[in-house]
Amino acid sequence: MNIEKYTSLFHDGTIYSIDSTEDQVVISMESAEVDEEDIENDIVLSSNERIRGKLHLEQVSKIFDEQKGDIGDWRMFGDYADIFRFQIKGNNILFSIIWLFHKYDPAKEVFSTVEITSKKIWWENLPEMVVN
Amino acid sequence: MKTLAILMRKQKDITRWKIKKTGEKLRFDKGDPKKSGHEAHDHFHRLNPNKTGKLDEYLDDQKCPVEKGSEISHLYPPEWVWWK
Repeated sequence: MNIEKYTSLFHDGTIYSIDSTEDQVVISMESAEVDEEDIENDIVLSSNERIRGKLHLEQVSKIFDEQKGDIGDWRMFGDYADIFRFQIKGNNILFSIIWLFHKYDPAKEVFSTVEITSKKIWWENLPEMVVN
Repeated sequence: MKTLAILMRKQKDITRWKIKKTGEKLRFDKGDPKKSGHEAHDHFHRLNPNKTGKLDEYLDDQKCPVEKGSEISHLYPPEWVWWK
């Protein structure tokens, strides 16, 4: 399944976890609520009508945080993150997100833009993945 | 001109506002016309100061808690809606 054609549906979606190991990053995430008319028959939605699964980035060569510069790995900063922009252009993946916490605390809600360069990008669709 | 809302924070295309009269907090997401869906269009979210997580992240137009990413969490003044 080609996730690139669905990236706009991830606006207002959620990042649940990020697992970074050496040159791999795996991001557990879901889209915002999706109308079935907006997708083709190549994807199964979660019970709450989201595209849910894991974005696998392999052979990662660069992780660039717009505020911090090059960072070795990408870690969770909040309980979850709101996805504002999600783009895939060739080998580059761009996330503009807001780190959020279960409890409302605007002072801790940090906006972050991270660009990752990766040779292999693939989507594991997991509509039944348990999320908190 | 009377100011109805105070700009609390600006982070690129996201601004947070506080309505002076009610104290309500709104997030304004600027749309990108090159995108599709909600991402393409300017819209608001009404922040829920009593949230316990993403399931009650925002308030709908009736001020009832709603899930983050849900259709009803996207607020558009009626005069802004021009597509089907």
